[in-house]
Amino acid sequence: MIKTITHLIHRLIGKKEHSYCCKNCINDLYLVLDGEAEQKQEEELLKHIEKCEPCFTRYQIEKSVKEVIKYKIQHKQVPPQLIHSIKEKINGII
Amino acid sequence: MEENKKKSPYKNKAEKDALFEKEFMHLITPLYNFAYRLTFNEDDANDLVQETYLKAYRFFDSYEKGTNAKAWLFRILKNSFINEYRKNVKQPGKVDYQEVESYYNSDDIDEPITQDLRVDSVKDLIGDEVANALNSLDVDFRTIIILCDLEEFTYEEIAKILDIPIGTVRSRLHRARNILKEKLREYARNMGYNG
Repeated sequence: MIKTITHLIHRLIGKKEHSYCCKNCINDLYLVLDGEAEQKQEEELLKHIEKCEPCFTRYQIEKSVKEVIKYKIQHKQVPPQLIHSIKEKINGII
Repeated sequence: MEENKKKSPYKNKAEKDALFEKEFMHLITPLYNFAYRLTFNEDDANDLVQETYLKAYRFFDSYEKGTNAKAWLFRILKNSFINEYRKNVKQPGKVDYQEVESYYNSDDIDEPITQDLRVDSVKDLIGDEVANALNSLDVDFRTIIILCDLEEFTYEEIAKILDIPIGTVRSRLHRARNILKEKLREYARNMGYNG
């Protein structure tokens, strides 16, 4: 609640806004998205972003960037002769 | 596991080779892609991957079963890359990442983050744009994004693969992501999504 009000006041007086409310949030946010957070940390962050607009937006952006990296980048096919040549070399080692 | 360490645990070479192939060969696609994203060259990627497997075979006896095979291979590949490719690359282009890290660190948490990067515009990006943005990152930043976001290694595994402390994994990831978002924002803006 206080954070929302602070956010509104900052907006009114034109103070530079961060895309998150505090340093801890951004650190926790990465831990959660990377699957490194403890359960309690995760619950607290998710509860927090429900009420904090900058952190909510930031969370969504970071999540979508992570997702496009994971799912949109095409993988190159391994040349079959590479697999063949590795196996051949290994079998040839005495 | 301890008893296996001293004497060779395999009956013969055929058995060893079969075990080796079973343990490691299915990981060749992510390894090859990692090599390609480090070198941007198919021949170099072939050489790197082949060298990685030959080294892994040489050290197979010291590989403890049950440890993460993928992380083990990635570590070997990354070391081969550093030893053979980075030192051969002509020095003028070399970027001292400590320098880069402290440069980005200066702005650290007060980052003027890409406020105008929107979720919708990120989602509208096509695969090539995302790949180009990733490829344009300095190799250390590119590597950490690949390991974390593409290959989904844990921070602990990344720390082992790169021989850096977990704290450095986190700060480098943070900086890499900020630069990556900046690149993505440029693509999004060029496409007019944010106009």
